[in-house]
Amino acid sequence: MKIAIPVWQDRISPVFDSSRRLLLVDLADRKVAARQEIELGGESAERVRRLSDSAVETLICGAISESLAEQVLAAGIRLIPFVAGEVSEILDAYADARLPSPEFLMPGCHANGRKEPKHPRCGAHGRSGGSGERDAD
Amino acid sequence: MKRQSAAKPLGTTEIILESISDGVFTIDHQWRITSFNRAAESITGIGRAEAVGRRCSEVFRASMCEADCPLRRTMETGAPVVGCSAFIIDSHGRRIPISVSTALLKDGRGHIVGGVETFRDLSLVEELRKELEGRYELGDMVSRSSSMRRIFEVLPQVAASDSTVLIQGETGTGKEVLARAIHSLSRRRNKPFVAINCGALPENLLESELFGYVKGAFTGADRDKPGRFALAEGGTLLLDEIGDLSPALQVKLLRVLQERAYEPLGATKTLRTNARILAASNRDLAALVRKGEFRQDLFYRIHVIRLELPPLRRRKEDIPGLVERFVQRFNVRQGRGVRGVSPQALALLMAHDWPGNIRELENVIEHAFILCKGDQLDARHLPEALTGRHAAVKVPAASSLRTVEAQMIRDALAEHANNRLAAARALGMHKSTLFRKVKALGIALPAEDGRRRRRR
Repeated sequence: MKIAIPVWQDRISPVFDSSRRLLLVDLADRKVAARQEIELGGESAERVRRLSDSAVETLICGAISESLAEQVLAAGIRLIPFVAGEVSEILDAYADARLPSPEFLMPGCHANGRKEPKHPRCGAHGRSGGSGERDAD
Repeated sequence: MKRQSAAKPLGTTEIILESISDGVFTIDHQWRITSFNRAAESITGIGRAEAVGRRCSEVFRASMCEADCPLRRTMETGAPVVGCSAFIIDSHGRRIPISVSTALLKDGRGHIVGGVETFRDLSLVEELRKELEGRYELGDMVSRSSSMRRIFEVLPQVAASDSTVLIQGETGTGKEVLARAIHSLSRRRNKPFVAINCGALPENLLESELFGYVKGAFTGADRDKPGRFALAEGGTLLLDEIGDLSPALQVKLLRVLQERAYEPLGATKTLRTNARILAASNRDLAALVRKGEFRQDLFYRIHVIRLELPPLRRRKEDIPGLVERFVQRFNVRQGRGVRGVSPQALALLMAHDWPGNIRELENVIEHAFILCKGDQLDARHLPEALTGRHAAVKVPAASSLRTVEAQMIRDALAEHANNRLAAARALGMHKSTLFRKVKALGIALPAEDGRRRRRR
C-alpha cells in the first residue's frame, strides 16, 4: 500500500496545490516498510502525474482545490483531504485505520453526518473514482 | 479622544476591526492565530472560535504559505508587505483570489508581540474587471477574436449534447482547455474529466491505459486496474492526438464508439461505458484518411461536431489579453507584483509568429518572470528567439504591430457598420483614442458615421 503525504516542516503541507515536497510511504502490515521524499512542482496535471508515476494509491493532504481533487480522483487515487497534523502522527493514525478523523481535520472542517457531496471538501472525504465505488448520479 | 481610548481602548479597536470588509488576523511568535475578525470569518468560512489558537497556515491555507509567506518576510525584516496576490482555499475547496498586506504587531511599549495580516477578497473585483473589459471568456479561455467568438457561441449547445466532438488545432492552441470547457459546461460537470495522450504511449501500454486490465492479464498485473474509460464513467474522456492511434486500436475504439462496449486486457466479461468522448488532433485527420492512415469509419464517428482552434498568429489581437492573464497567473503562483509588459516587449510579442501557440506564449512570459526583478516585463527579459529577430528587423516588428492594430480597427469598424463610437467601445478604447489611431495609422474612414443621426 503506497501512500503519499505532502510535507512542510514535519507537518502536512497546508495547501496541496502549492506544496513542494511529497513523502512517499510504503505501508506493509501496518508498518512503514519504505519512505522516500520527492520534489513536487508545476500545475495540477503535473502534480497528478507525479502521483500516478509513483503508483500512489492514497493521498493524504491538507487543503486542496476542487478541480485538483477531481483530477486526483479521476486518476483512481483515494483522497483524504483537509488533514492537519504532524506527519508521524498522521502515519500512525492511518496505519491504525483512524483516518479520516475529526481529530486531524483542518479548522472549519466538520465530519458531520451529511450525505457525501460530489466533490471532496472539508469533512467529506472523497473516495477513489474507479471500480464501481462511485455513487449513482 | 484620549479620554475615550483610555476608558475602552480595546472596544474601539474591536468595533473598527469588526466593521471593515478586509479580513484581519494576528499571530503570536509561534505562528498561532490570536485574533480573527468578522470579515476573515466570512472570507475563509472558518469561525473565530476554531481559528484562534491554530497555526495560521492551516487556517489561512494560502498558496504562498509554504514558499513565500509575506508575514514571515515581515517578521524577519520588520518591513511591511503591501498588496501581495495569492489564492486561498476555503472550506468548500474553492480557490479565492486575495490580496495580502502584512505588518509587525507591537505592544504599547514598542515590543514586537507578533504580526498582523490583512487580506481582501478579490473574487468580485476579478469578475467586474472581466465585465468591464468586455472580453469573451469561457472557463479558462479568453478572447477578443471573432474566430474564437464563433466557437464560444456554439459551445453551450455542443456541451449540452452527448455527441462526440473533434477538436482540431495546432499544438499549443488549447485543445485540452477547450475540452475541459465543454466538460464543465455539460451536465457531466460533476463527474470526472479524464484525458489521455494517444501519441505519448506505445501501443500495448496505451491499450491497457484505455481499457484497463484484470489481475493476471500479463506478468506484473498483480491487481485489477481500471482503464481511462472506466475512470471517466459518467464523465468525459478526451483522446488527445487521436491521429496517432495504431490501426489495431482504431478498430477497438470504433467498437467502443459504436457499441459502447469493450473488454479490459485479459477479461472475459464485456464492460459498458457511458463516458462522453472528445477527440483532439493537431494533424489533419481528413488528409490521414485519404492517405489510408486513419480509418474512414472511425473518422466519421468522431467527426460529428468539429471545432477548429485558430493558431495564435491568426488571432494576434488576443496576445495582450493572454499576456495579461499569464502575468496575473504567475503573480499569484509566485507571489509577485508584476504590473505588465512594456510597450517594446509587447511589440516583440505581437511580431512573433508563435509556432508553439499559446503554450509558447505562456513559456515566454514565465521566462521573462524569472529574469525580471522589477515590476514590468521588458524586451530584455524575453528569450533570444524573440529579441534576436528584433535586433535584425527592428522596423518590421514595429510595423507589424501597426498592421495588426490597423486591421483590428478596420474589423471593428466593419463589424459596427462604421459606427465609430461602437467600434471604439468594442476595442475597449475611448472614441478620441480611436480617432487618433485612425489618423496615425492612415486608415481611410467613410464620410458617413454609422450611428443614427439625431433629428434636430
